[in-house]
Amino acid sequence: MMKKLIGAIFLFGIYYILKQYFVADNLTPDVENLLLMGIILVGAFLVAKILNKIKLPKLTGFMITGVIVGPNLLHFLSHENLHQLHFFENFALAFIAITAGGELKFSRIKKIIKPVSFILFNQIFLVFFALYLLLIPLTKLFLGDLISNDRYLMGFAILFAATALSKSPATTMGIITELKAKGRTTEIVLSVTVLKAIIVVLLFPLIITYSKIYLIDQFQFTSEQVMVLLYTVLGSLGLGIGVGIVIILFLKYVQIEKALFLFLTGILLTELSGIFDLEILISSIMAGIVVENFSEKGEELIAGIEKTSLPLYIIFFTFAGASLYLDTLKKAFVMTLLLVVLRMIFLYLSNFIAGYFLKENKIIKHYSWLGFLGQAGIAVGLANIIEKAIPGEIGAIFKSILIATVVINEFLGPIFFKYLLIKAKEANI
Amino acid sequence: MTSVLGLVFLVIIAIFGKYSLDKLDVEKIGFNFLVYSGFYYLLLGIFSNPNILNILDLSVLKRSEFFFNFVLGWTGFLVGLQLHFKGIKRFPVKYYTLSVGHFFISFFIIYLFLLGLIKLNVLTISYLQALLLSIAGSMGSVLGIGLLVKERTIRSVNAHFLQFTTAFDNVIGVFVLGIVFLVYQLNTLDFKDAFLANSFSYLIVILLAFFYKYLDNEFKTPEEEGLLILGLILIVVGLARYLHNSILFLSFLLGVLIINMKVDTKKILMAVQSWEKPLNFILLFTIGLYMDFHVLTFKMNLLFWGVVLIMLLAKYLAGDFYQRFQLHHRHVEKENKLVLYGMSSLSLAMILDAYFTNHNPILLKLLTLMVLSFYLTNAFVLYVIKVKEKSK
Repeated sequence: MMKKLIGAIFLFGIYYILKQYFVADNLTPDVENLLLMGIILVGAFLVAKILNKIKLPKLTGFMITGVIVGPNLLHFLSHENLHQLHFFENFALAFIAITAGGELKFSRIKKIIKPVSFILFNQIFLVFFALYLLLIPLTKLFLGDLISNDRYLMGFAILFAATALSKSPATTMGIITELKAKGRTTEIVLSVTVLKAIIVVLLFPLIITYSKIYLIDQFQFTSEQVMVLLYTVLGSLGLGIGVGIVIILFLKYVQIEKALFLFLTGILLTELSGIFDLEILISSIMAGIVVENFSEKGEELIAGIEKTSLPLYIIFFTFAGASLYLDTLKKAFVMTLLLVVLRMIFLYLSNFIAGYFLKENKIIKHYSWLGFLGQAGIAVGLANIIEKAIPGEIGAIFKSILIATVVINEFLGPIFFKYLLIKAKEANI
Repeated sequence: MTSVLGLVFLVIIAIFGKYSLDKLDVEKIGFNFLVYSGFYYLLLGIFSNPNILNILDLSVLKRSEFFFNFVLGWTGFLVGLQLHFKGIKRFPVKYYTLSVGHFFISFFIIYLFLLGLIKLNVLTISYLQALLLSIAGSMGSVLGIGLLVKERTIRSVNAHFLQFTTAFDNVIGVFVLGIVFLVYQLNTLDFKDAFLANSFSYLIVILLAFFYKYLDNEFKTPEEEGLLILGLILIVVGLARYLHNSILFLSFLLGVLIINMKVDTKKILMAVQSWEKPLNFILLFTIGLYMDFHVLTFKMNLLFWGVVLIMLLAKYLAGDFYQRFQLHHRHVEKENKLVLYGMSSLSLAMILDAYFTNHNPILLKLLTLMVLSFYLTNAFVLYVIKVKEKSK
């Protein structure tokens, strides 16, 4: 452990000394970011290994490295750096999502279709409506002195309930890859996660628009918004299918420079999603699903990506850690904790009800909810909507609560999921 | 079209294009040379060049520069790995003296020629740029010998000798490049700053090599090994750019240091070699993108033909010197020795490396001339060898 610690300190030390004692002129930010990326890749791996000694998942280690090097502590990765490196984050997400989609083999899902659909249904409807209904009185109880306008409470409740639905496929894939997990529970959690990610991404714009009716005065729902939503959904699905077909054709007819081709496909997906304002998560998952289910070499491809996925996970989760607004945890701490616990309770109930009716085993009934805690990335965007809609103290508090819950879930998610896979005896470590 | 996307489209076309060429299954050595040298990728780079079709404009090049820097770093690291002292000990001392001699005789002849042109005011390049050109022109083509081996026109004992000579003079070239960069820094920076920046760069690279040795056991799987190497190369590339040093040289140094420590060399080579070819193609594509075609002036033409001729002459004289003193490997047929006359593709990377350090536009003109020289000298050499072989 000491060796790894010295190694990590040495790497961070290089960057510190360089920035402190040498002035770089005519330097493009990207070049400085190369140095930073190198340090993060190796440094985060070492930190993760150190934390692995106390049984923490590597993903958590990557996130903690992000917190250390990010704007919260050492400031190596500033918000500006994160913005400049956003492309890499999306690039990593594209690959992770392709792999996640590639795990959705129709023939395998058929065998677990009942628990998957039941849990999925419960997690979307039960969690959303239960939280929505509970949040209005709860917010009134805790923040009633501050908020006189009930419409704001409604808007916040809608947004928070929607946020609670989200589950990061990257966390799920990351832990499955790390533990080389295989088995029924793994498949159920992954299938529900991927399908939920698609549904949630489709529902989100609708829910956000709906919440704006309460949050923004004189806001109206127009047909133009519906068209934008349709464009995003269909465009993302179309892009994913298109890229999937290109990959299949390549695997069938070309088969040379596979690594280079895949690398470029990832860039293609990332850039096209950015240019056309599409959802990279949906496009990439779709591409993975198409390749896995309509090509004989799909599994080979997915295995190939998985073999080189380590740097992608490090980038994605270190950046996620660096992007966390830890200072928000201090504000409205009780309310935040309450919301985290409530989400856990409803997740447990969703899975328990599904397991009870389907006469599933103990693991599915009592523990499978642990695989659905992790969240990433989406909260900041939603919180910004609140801040813009409700300027001032109330908006700031809502924003803090929303982000803080995601921060907690983001850290707890990988740990709980690892525990589940070990409990289900599906981890191969 | 955004930066990386344009690049992606073009390289995807290049992959499909190369596939079509492979399907044609043409056995001609010249044609194979074009395919193996990545000419198709270079051509794509040229088409997308801001001066030609402007598919990727200058801002795109600027934004993608970090990636091209990384490719240079990887290339340098691979060259460094070739200098595995334990592995090359088995070669006779004569091989080393021959390779070093070949390199330096060519180097001095080319440099003297360029110096003459500068003194006569025919050429308006700096002495450092002349040094750079001389290094670039003195390294032999690894590609040519590879093709001869593939075509089975050469016996294995001779192939080993020629492969060694060309590979080793590439190593010497990168080493001398490091010295040129040091001179460049001393010329452009305050002595104390230059000394500090260089010492710090070398120190960090040495420490990174020890870091590798110290922590290698922690990176157990090939995936983790790849991560470690990727991370170290990124750090060295960033460091080189930060301190205006040579990316090729510093990453080369890292490669040399790591491979000569008590480490699992197989593990390292497995982790890096799969990316060698794709990254080499990207490098050629990059070179095509950066070429400056405003070189068709009288002076530049003079320089081009002068450099090509003097390069061939220099290598002939170097070979003749050894022949005269019977130092050459006696089994190697004379025509096969011609392969040493071809220019190395690493030369192109060197000029690009220098360009990334100070963005001097004259270097892009020199790069263009070097690309032309590279294809011309190699095509000439392969042609002569083939013709001589047929006439036997």
